[in-house]
Amino acid sequence: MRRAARQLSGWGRYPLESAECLRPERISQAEKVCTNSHNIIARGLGRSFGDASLNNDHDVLICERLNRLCSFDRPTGVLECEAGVSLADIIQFALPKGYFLPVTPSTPHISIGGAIAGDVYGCNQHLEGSFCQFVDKIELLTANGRVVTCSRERQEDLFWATIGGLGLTGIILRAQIRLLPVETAYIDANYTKISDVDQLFLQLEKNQHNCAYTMAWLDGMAGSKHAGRSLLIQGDHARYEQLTGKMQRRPLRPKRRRDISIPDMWPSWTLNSFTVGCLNKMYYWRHLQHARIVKYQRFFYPFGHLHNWNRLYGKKGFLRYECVIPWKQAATALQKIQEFFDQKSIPCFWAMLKLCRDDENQGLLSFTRAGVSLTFDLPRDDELITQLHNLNDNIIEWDGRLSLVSDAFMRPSDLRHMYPQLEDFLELKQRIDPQNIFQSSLARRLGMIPQ
Amino acid sequence: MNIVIIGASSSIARALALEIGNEDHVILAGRDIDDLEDNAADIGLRTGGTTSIIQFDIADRDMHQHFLDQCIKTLGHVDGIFFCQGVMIDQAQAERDDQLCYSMLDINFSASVLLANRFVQHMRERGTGFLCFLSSVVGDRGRQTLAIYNATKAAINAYVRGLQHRLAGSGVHALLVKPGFVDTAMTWGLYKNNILVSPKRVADDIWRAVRKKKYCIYTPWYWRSAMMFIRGLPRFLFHKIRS
Ligand SMILES: Cc1cc2nc3c(=O)[nH]c(=O)nc-3n(C[C@H](O)[C@H](O)[C@H](O)COP(=O)(O)OP(=O)(O)OC[C@H]3O[C@@H](n4cnc5c(N)ncnc54)[C@H](O)[C@@H]3O)c2cc1C
Ligand SMILES: NC(=O)c1ccc[n+]([C@@H]2O[C@H](COP(=O)([O-])OP(=O)(O)OC[C@H]3O[C@@H](n4cnc5c(N)ncnc54)[C@H](OP(=O)(O)O)[C@@H]3O)[C@@H](O)[C@H]2O)c1
Repeated sequence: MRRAARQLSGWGRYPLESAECLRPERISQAEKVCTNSHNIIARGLGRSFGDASLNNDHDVLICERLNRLCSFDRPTGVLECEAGVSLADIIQFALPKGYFLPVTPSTPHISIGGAIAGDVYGCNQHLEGSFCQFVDKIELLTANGRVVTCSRERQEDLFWATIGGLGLTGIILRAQIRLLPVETAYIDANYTKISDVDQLFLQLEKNQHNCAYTMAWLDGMAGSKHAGRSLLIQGDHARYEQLTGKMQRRPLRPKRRRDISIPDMWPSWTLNSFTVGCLNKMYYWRHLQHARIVKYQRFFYPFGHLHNWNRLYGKKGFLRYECVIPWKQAATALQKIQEFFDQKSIPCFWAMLKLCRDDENQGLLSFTRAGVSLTFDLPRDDELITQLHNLNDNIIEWDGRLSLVSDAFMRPSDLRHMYPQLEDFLELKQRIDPQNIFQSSLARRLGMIPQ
Repeated sequence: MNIVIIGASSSIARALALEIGNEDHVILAGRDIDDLEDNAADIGLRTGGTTSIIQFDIADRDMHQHFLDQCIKTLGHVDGIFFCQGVMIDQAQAERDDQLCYSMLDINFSASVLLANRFVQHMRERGTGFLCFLSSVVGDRGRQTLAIYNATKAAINAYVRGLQHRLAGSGVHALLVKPGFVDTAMTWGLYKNNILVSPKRVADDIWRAVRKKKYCIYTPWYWRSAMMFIRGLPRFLFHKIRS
């Protein structure tokens, strides 16, 4: 296979690194990669924010063309597909047949490989768990060049290491997942305005079991005075009877929104504290305080039609600070983090809150645990990373952790404190990949690969 | 419609097969039978149409008649055929290695003509059908980097022009497609990213051209004027640009 020299970055546009890219068009080509590459990482659609799918000056295996559906069992909703199939593809295929994703992150443009290797979660994490709960089988290309099928019953240690394993156990070639039957493509949604942290947590506690989906949009620019100003967003899949005239005619095929693409040269100064402050206020005030039926795109992917929105941040890019904090500390943490940004005058352009639960069975490096996950998008400048390191110490104090797929700035010591099962993971990696054929910039930065 | 696609592992061919609707029956023909099986499953699921596969190497002339028979046996009759197979061998390599060079000439041109002869015959008997050939913009004016590959494409151009003349009024239609640079395995790592277009975009254009019974299309459309300009360049200028 030919290699192409490319400059790659994650969705946050930082760091930007060069890589030798291979792009197999079929499974048989992918299966041969271990024979001609000794340092490689898989990459799906590049929606992780930092360097999880980068491999500075070494090989990157781009899986986007391994995107065939293999089989679908209509009565049970079991789908088998190749690792490069995107969640958007799956929705397009399955929704008209009455099935939806059981778990969806806030973008549909990620690959199945990325969804498994990053063990992604959605706004139903606290009820249904993360993506891995719906993965039955993984076909994994391992370092010795053999394809291993692993599942909860077969090779389960490899299965649980690959889930959330950031591509470090091998290359996922195919997977089998279970989809969720739905009656319509609409969501019965409910928006509640909230003015402070206490009210937010009160509402969350009271309402978290009422609906299938719960999340909160936070006004990241609200500052410490208005910390917790937010919009509680809840929803359930709408039933057919709930739809009105026009919707009822096409209950499973709503019209798609027109895609908008941001040009590469977009000037980053347009996104500043003032404009974002205004946008946030508009967003907050626009949502009426009552229930209504909305298209699934609008509910799950409010910016799904805005392609390359990461370009709004300009060449410097942005960092996503995504942490999960145990329930008890969560309210304090939210208050403190917003105060911290306020003090250091770090603008936060986008912030979300989701609820999480602990799962008995989880990937060794899976991110979620019982508590509240908080996500903040921060435009990058040169000091930001050192400032965030200070915040990391607080997170450890609160017994929280940071997400690895979002990460571009953690230190090896942070990782060790936040992920107690790291040793088990590394031990297994040593066993199945002693030569460290699968490695990424992230793995090297965090000391997972001995230098 | 009953359609045959040669070189069905190519990503342009895959995208084409996905364009074709759910009332159609498509035969995917190519050398890599495992990949064809995967493709057939995918296309069947996504379009809801019927797909069959036939293992076929176009360079193997003795199999051409058998292949046509197999197609007719599977489909009843053939309404259309796409020639998506092709190889692009580096100029220096092709100059050194006769075997490779000849195989490129054969797969891209001679074998296509021989196979087309049989399908033309079949379609003329029925008085309807179409043949679609994937040529390339580079066939419009040969360049040093891929002179031989370009020649195979120029040859296809000349052949299809003649074929269109011959088939005029017969009910059988021949379409010549000249894609620009497409983001496929063939071009991976050779060109700048920003001049490549997706296979889907090309497939969209091709399928529209088939339905509208066009004779020759450039895809994307802007290559038509670009190539007009390049063809018009005087030789002394053209030879200066040798990158
Ligand atoms: C707008 C936006 C919203 C998001 N919202 C959420 C959210 O709500 N919840 C959430 O959990 N995440 C969220 N994410 C993060 C995203 O879902 C994850 O980063 C996901 O892993 C990205 O998948 P990808 O296909 O783009 O993979 P990449 O970014 O290409 O890769 C991610 C990781 O997966 C590995 N990988 C990819 N393919 C394979 C394979 N075939 N085999 C083995 N390893 C592989 C890579 O090595 C890398 O470590 C969001 C991202 C964006 C851009
Ligand atoms: N990519 C571009 O920029 C571009 C531009 C203009 C025109 N084109 C033309 O478009 C067509 C498709 O190209 P592509 O870019 O999709 O290239 P590709 O991915 O390399 O596909 C070529 C296909 O042809 C098949 N093939 C080769 N020799 C064959 C033979 N003897 N018998 C049967 N099948 C054979 C190959 O099958 P195997 O799996 O067996 O190898 C492969 O699937 C080609 O004719 C090419 O010249 C491409």
